[in-house]
Amino acid sequence: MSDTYKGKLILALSIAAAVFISHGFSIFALAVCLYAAGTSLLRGQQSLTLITIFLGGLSLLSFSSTLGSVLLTAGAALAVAFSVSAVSRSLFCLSAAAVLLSGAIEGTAPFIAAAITAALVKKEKWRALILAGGLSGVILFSGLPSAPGYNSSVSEEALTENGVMWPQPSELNLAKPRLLLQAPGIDIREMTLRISAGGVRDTCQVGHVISAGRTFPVYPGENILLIQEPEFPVSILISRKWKPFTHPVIHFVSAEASF
Amino acid sequence: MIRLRMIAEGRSGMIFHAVSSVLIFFIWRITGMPSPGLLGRLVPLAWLITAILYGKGRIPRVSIYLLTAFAVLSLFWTVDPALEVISAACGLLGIFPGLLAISSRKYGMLLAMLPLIPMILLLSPFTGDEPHHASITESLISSGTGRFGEYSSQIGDPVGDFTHHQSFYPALMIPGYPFSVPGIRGMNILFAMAALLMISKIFRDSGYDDWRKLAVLGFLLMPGSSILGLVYPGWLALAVFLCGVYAFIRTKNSVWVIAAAIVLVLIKFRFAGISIGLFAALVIESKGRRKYLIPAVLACIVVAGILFDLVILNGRIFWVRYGNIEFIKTILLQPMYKTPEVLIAAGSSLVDIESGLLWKAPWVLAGLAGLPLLKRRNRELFIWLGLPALVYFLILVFWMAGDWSGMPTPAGRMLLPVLPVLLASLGYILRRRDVRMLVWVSLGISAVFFTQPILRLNYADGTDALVSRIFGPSSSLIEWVPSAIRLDIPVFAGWIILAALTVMLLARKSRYAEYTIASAFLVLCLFGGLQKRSWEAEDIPSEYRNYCTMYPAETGPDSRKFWFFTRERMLRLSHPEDAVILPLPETTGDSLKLTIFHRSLQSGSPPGIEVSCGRWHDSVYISSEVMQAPVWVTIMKDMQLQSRPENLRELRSEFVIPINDFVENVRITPLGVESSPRGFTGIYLDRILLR
Repeated sequence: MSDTYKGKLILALSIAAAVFISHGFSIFALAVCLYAAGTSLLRGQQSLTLITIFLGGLSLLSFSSTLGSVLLTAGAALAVAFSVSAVSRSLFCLSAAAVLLSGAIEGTAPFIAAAITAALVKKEKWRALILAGGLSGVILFSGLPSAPGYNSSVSEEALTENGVMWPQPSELNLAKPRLLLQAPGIDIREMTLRISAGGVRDTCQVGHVISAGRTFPVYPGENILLIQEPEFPVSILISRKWKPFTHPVIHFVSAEASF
Repeated sequence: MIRLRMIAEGRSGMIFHAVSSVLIFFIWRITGMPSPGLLGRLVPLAWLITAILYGKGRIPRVSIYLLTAFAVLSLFWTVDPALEVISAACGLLGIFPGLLAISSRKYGMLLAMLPLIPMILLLSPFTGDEPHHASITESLISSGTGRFGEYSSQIGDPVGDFTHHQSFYPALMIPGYPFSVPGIRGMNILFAMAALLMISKIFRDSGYDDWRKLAVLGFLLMPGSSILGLVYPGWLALAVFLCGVYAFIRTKNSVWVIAAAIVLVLIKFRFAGISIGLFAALVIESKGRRKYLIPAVLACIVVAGILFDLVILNGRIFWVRYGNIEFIKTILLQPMYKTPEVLIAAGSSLVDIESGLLWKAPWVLAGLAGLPLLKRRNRELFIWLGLPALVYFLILVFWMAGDWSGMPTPAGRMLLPVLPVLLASLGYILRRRDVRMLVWVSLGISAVFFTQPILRLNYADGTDALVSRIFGPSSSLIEWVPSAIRLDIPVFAGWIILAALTVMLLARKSRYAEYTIASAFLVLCLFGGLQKRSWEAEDIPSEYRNYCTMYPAETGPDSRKFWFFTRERMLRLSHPEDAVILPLPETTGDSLKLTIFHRSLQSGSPPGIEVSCGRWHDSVYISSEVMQAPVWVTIMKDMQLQSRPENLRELRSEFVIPINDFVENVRITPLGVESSPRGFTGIYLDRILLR
């Protein structure tokens, strides 16, 4: 074994040990270790190694989260497509499969199948083609992969003399489809929301605002919604599902409420 | 068919870029990624322009990897909001190998800038000092309040009628004025092109093999890319500085250096550091009587210039800003009383998360490592590019310690004058594997800033916009990176030592350099991924608090930079409904220690803090005392500090919380506060530790 490989392997083993010590055992930790081992055995251009190390490192920063899972999967997909070493490809493939099968991201079965097949193929062009097929398969059969549950954020509220206001603008899209407005401990009589929406090629509803079971539609263009006696949290949600050539977006401009 | 094949022969690179442009355009739309009308067009357009300029050449392998990364990441973009940033950056980074390849053509380094120009003109927000420079340009040719009229003065301007910016640089932008913001920015792109032309000529004449590539790296990498095409005088100053150096190296006529030095001061007084460095280089390079004559002439020029400013220009350039006796005293007192602040400011230029180059452009480590080699191989370049950069840097740090980073404008913009010398030293070690690694990581970060220029802007609050955007406020990463605002000496010193070690290993061509860099990155990622147990109060996201307000309310550092004891923002709890509700970290013990660092300002009975966790609760009533003004302030004038939060002594309150399986969070609320808080009364949270 060359010194370079020894060094890489020691680095990979150290990372694996550190991951298990600091985070304990989990499927994600196992996937990281497989990824690290794959990186140490990677054969290809230096830039490929660099990209895989970078994506793997970033996945550690968002350990066990959906972001970490995607970064690990992306790094593994690259290595499966372009690594010369079959062992390395297999390790990367196992790493991606472990992460995706654990349910961190939904709707990726065609991609897992494509990655496993590609890892076994010798010719690079075929591997790239199979992976591209896998990615297309994901879109064709299950639409865009998504995280289980909604990614939501909470708007910052501020007390005023007459009530509460939510002054910070916020953008909702398919990656962050829900915004919550809260007014803890205060009885609100009336609430006004300023919202604009767009990114669709029709005039149908883009999203809705929900308060205490009541639903208020949000249409493309500017919307001013008046809600009497709202119950909190008030939720603003994109209701459009993913569809090619549409980019549904809701811009929450501001909201205010009076006692 | 044969004709088509003949045209395509040897142009696989061009075809690849053109096809990739179409692919990216459609992938963006099929996956529904945000900003299809702007970023979703500008990135494919950049690929298309690269294809047109590419000429004959093979497909860059790295571009294939990056295009694949873009395709995979964009498929998953709805999974996490950070992925749209990363995938867009991968999409743009894919053209960088092509731009480096284009550089080998005639005027290649100028052509290589073209694909990025639409992005610079249309994506970067017109903010910071840009409107101020533009409004001066406007005032020079139009008496009315036009496009930029509303930005007529700025905090820190000495007198209402004066702006602290000078008129020479805005006057040069007059040709672009009719075309509004794109026109004014276009002029700055021309200044940058002039600087790059100069730098490439200097490198070519100095015998560099990769002189064209180096020039392209100069604008692709931070700090060059930080204000590329924006309305800041940095690139113009660089053009003048390099023009002086180039002309002197060719002609050995010192008039060029003197002219460049004077023009630099006219552009902005800050660039006087470069002028002094140029004169110092001239003295070092001179022989015989000239060695003594030049300093004498220099002293005369400086005295004459200051007198000219006082008598003829009514002190408009120098005296209005620096004729203030208290300011002069502050400068003179710096070495005696503010040495730590000055040292931290110097260290911050490298390691600070907000303004340090290490995080935006790790290639500077290679640039620093190459300096000894530059000195050995090309002493002339080392002196002519290095000395002005060094003097400029020292004056910058000494003069504006704590405020030198010039935020909230793009980080690294003040360090543009060090770019030529670092590029010159990089040129000697660019082909090494470990150096290439640093350069490519830096290019990746630059690509993020080109696609999301808003993330370049930090607000001197201890957080970095890019880190916050990608990993969110709940990430532990921010605890492990150094910040001059939230100073943690072990972390700060640790990164300085690590940076120095890396530079040393790179300079010695050690094979461990690569492993050290990779290990440091991975260890940081590992620690940054741990569960968050320490919260800076001002970072606590709205999902973990009820109401509460920020002190001071404004995001920018304008008021905080005049504080004596801290520059951090604080979270104010001044209303009975205000509360902080933090999730309890996983713990194996039966209790948890909660430490709150805070200030408390009373207006009658002292306010208190109540901590509750399930049925358990505890409280403490305590108020902070006003601190004495620092010694250096009292030397200048007799000063009693006001009873304001920033002047209060910080308190530390500790609570031991019994852990119950059914409780998931801990609640911190203020006690003894009124529903209509008066003045500054309330609890000001700084930091909360859960151990």
